[in-house]
Amino acid sequence: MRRLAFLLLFLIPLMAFKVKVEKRTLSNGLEVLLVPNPNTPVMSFQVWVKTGSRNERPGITGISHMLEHMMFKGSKNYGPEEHARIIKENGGEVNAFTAEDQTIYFDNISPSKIDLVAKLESDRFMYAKIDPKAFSSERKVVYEERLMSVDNSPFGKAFELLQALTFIAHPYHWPVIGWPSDILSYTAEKVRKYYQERYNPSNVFIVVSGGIEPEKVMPVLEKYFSSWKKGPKVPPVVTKEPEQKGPRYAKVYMKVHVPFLFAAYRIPPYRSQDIPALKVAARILGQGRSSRIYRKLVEEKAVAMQAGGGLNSMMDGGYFFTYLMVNLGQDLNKAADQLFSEIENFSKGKIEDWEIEKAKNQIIASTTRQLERAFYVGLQVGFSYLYTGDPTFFQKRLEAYRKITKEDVKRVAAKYFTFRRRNVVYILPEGGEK
Amino acid sequence: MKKFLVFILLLGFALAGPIQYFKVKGIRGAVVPRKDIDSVVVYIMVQGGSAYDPAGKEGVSDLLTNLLVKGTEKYTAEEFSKRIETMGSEIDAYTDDEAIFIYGWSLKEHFGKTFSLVADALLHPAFREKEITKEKKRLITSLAQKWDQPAYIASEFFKAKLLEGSPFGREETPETVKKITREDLLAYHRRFFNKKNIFVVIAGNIEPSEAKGMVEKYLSSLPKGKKASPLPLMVKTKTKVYIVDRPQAPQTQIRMGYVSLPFRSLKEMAARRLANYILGGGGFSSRMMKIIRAKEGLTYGIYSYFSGFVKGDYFEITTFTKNETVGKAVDLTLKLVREFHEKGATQEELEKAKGYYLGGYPLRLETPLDFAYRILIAELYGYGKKYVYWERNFIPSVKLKDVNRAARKYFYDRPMLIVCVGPANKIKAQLEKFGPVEVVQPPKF
Repeated sequence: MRRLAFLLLFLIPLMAFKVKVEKRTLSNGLEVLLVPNPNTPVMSFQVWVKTGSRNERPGITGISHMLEHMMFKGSKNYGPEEHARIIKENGGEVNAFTAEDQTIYFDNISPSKIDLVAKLESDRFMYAKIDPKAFSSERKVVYEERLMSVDNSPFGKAFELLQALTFIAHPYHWPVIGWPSDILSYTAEKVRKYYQERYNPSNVFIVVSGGIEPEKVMPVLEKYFSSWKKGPKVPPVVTKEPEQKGPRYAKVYMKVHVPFLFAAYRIPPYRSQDIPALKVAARILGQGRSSRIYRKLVEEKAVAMQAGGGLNSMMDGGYFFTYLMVNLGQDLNKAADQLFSEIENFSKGKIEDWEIEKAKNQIIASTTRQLERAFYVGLQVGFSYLYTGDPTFFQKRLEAYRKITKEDVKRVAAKYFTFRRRNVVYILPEGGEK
Repeated sequence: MKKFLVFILLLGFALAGPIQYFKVKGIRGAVVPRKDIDSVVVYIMVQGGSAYDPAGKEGVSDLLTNLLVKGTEKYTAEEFSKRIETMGSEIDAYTDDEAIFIYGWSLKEHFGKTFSLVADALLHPAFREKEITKEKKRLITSLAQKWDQPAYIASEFFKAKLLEGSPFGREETPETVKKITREDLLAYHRRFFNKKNIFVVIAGNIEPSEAKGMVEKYLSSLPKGKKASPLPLMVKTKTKVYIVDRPQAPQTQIRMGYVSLPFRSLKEMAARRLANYILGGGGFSSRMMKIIRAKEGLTYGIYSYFSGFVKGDYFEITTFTKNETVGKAVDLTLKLVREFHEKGATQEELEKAKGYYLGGYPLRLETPLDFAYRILIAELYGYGKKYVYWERNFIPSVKLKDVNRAARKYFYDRPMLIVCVGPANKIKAQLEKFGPVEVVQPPKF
């Protein structure tokens, strides 16, 4: 096996991470990142807004997501959902998603439609309507979304609570979709004010990836976006999450047949130099059938139906996330002890050569696979730019992964995967509290 | 329109080299070369699937696919996973009603080894008793866990009730899974894993000659065997409402539909897909989304679609709403279906739907995996080679009269089976006007 790992180290070459980014700026200061790839007939047009749930406060949690919904409800020259319908009837996909650090709007379509897309996107970014009647109906839609994804879902409920447990002071504490009472309380006027304050070229950048010609794209963007006036920047988030000095636990009783747990160990921000080693550690511990957690709990002890983990890395910090669903009749607490022992003793044991090579090769291979789609190319570039100011940072980081040693992995595991930093949410069957 | 079509045609060829179909040592398949990327995927279909499970031992194909990646005669489960994952490659297998799928993805330089491991899993699974015991426990737990996920159980329960009495309506349960033996797995493997019954697609950065060479090298020892015969779908839908009771649920998951007539030609399929896009398949462009979500705010999403078998189809509408508005959401949805049946679509709606399919298929065929899957679907359902680019081959010739004929033939509001997963005490009264209601309690595990 050692020989195999040794060979692989040299077998994975620098490959075709040929993503080249051209950074341009429109006359009004709006930044544009162009990622041409002549081999694809697809274009992904993405508008990134540097505001998400991180930039909210209690009382208006979920407002970034609510605004994202209202961005589909009409603008100066287009009626409700007309943007989406036009993109679809031209063969494209249109959608948006809000997260903790950003809101991303995207149109995946033929590059020949660049004029149409720019026209539609500029209209809603400059002149969204946010009409009270449409707002009232859309708020119900958002509420249904919350019921579906959180309140009527054991996994959604567990995830929401885990993030609230892991971040107590920082805005990552509240869910992206917002607390139910907040969703029901904000008005169209509040959402419009949020839009006016945040959606301007100071807080937005555009990524266009795929089969595009930069020299043809730029005049189109200039034509539609250059009259958009700059505004104030989103206020910085000053709250820092205090150091966690002991484990935190939560139990939720629900109508479930299979009890499970989600757990998290907080990690530093995306930009931190510890992230590559943490990502390697997370792969060794939690990803794939050859991972430590799977081998121990699913294979060796045969107590779990499913177990694993991964890294969620964000602007102001993130977490190593782990999950455990026990087989019927198995004791969740006992299995949990084995899970935590595997994670928290990881830094003390031996790491095999093949494990470290596996983690590195999986990271490189999965990035390569993602880059087969113009949409994911845009996302990689966008996240790199949002988090570091360097749109090709993700490629440079791939180089950093190659240099990670066992000692690096052990060092970060000892620092972050500790008993004191443990946060656990148990989802247990009704009646279990008695 | 003509100019637009020429453009689309060119796009199609820019995506991938021409598909090369082959027959190597009795094994049929296709290669889709793509020079501009760094990976290759092999996607293999074995005709069989859960509908072919022996009676009383439902779950054999599910268990078998889980075990395909849990060790071969040569490697233990752990060794097998290590070999795959250390290369950064992926191998997985899953079962559908009428086929088992196994795929392997890797970077170009590891494809030979990855293919050899896929072939090893396909040809020489070990089915060790130790692994069978573990996988049975996991499978039984997953059957219980399905009942914890309202959206999932709504679809599963709907399908089981709709197709009850056919090979597609049988359910695996803890009891049927417990009865499965190693001999059952071996018998199933002997019956379906043969040259006549598999189809291999290799797509990505590979020369066709190299791909065919691998098929010959690694798969030619498969037995000749016999092709699985398609199974009939001889069931009729009765109007009825089932409530799967979840007393504390704040929202109700809704599924509605019926067993449909199968289409007779790919042109008719295209007309039906265009019709469905207009009614419920077109996202924000569909009538259902416009009324039930955008106008009424009753749901976050509502979609309709046809699910196919070799010998039949069924139509399904999926949505969810808060418990208080279940009756209203069902009522409005049925009204939309009825109107569509009676009045059909407009020329404007048809043009927009055509625009979606004709303009958008390069997006749906962006990666080698997309191509591979579409080729396998064409093979499974006997659609023929023209199906791979069905949009450009069939959409242009569909006229409004074809779509309206499809609307009358395939879309109607009665008979309609309705399944709701929610609190019976809050939704039962709202549902009684749609048919006889039966409340079902989730099983105990």
